[in-house]
Amino acid sequence: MALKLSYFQTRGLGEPIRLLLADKQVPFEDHRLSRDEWPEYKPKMIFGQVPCLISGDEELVQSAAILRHLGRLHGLNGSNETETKFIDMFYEGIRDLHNKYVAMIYQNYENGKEPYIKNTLPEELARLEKLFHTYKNGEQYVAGSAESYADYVLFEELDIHLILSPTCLDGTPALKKFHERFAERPNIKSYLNKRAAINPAVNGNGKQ
Amino acid sequence: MTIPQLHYFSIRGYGEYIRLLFIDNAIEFKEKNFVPFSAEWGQIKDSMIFGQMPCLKIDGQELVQTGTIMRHLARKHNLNGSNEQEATFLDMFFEGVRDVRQKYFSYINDLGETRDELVNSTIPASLEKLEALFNTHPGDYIIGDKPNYADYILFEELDVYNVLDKGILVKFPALKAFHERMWNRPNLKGYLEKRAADKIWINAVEKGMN
Repeated sequence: MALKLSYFQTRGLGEPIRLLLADKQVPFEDHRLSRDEWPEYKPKMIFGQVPCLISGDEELVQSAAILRHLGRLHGLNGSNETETKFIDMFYEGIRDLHNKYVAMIYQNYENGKEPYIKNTLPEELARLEKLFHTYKNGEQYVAGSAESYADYVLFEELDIHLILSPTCLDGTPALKKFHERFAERPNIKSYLNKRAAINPAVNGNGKQ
Repeated sequence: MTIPQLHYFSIRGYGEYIRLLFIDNAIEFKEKNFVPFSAEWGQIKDSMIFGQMPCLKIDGQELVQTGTIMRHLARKHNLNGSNEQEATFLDMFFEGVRDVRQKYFSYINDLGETRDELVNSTIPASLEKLEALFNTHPGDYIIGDKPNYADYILFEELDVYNVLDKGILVKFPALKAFHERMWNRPNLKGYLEKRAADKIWINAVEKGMN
């Protein structure tokens, strides 16, 4: 079934979905809305927001709902309930970090960046590092030997934080190695190479 | 089977969705409720996976993150729709409700809009979208004729906004009827009446109670 992902030209909340689809080699139309087009699209969206994934006659919005749906569809949701709920919990933890990141980026970049890098980020990363050790001693993926939707979200989250602060993963070696490993996955690597040529902004306000 | 134990605060907050799910489905559970900002909570905060509650101790494991707990209970107790399309729809509905709650939460914590903006503009605009989405599926609940996990979340949200402004649901007949229907469910009614009579705080501060 033809898939169409509508999102902004930035990475934002659409990027983990793009990474998942690229890695799983699921063909999709990568529809990127310009600023000028958005006012026309906004009222048509279920909650006035993107990302929006159109799959046949089904219209899905809310990045988390889209990711969990794709997770179930493409074998990226764990192999039993224990793994499924762990993946869900891990994802929600990353999401809390992302909300703090977004608040700093959009509301308090100039004054908030330094304290965020110095205090908030290390504390949050330390919790994720600890949780990442739950399966396979933190040497593989979020839930062990198989990747899940949370791995794409984790990779993107670490990647944008490395843009913010290139040394931010020095205190969390398992996450750092995960980021390096994940970037080397052949389909991810090829996607990242293509992305580098376009070099899209991480956030809508150009701050990163 | 061991009885699940919910660790949360002595307020409605995010833990209330979980309580409502348990109570309506007559699932036995225990509670350990901490007073917000108390020393007792301060002592255990760091032992929580993300330093937060709710935390559900279940099947020998600790589960945190409200959405995660609700979805886990939904899968376990057949409250997640009957196919992938329904599960995704419930998830999307929940996430939409959650966005409104975040704006409410910002207001409560003096970080967002004024009461006037929230009550007269933001919440009605969001309820209009939720009303339209609610009407895309037939039946008395979000999908069909029985509540699923997202119905408890929607109900609690509508109730929270209704506490803020008694007339806020009037313009949204489907949501208003749903709110009344949930309120009158046999397993919930007594609990909800007591909760209202006891004036249990919605938030960690009194703001939001009128």
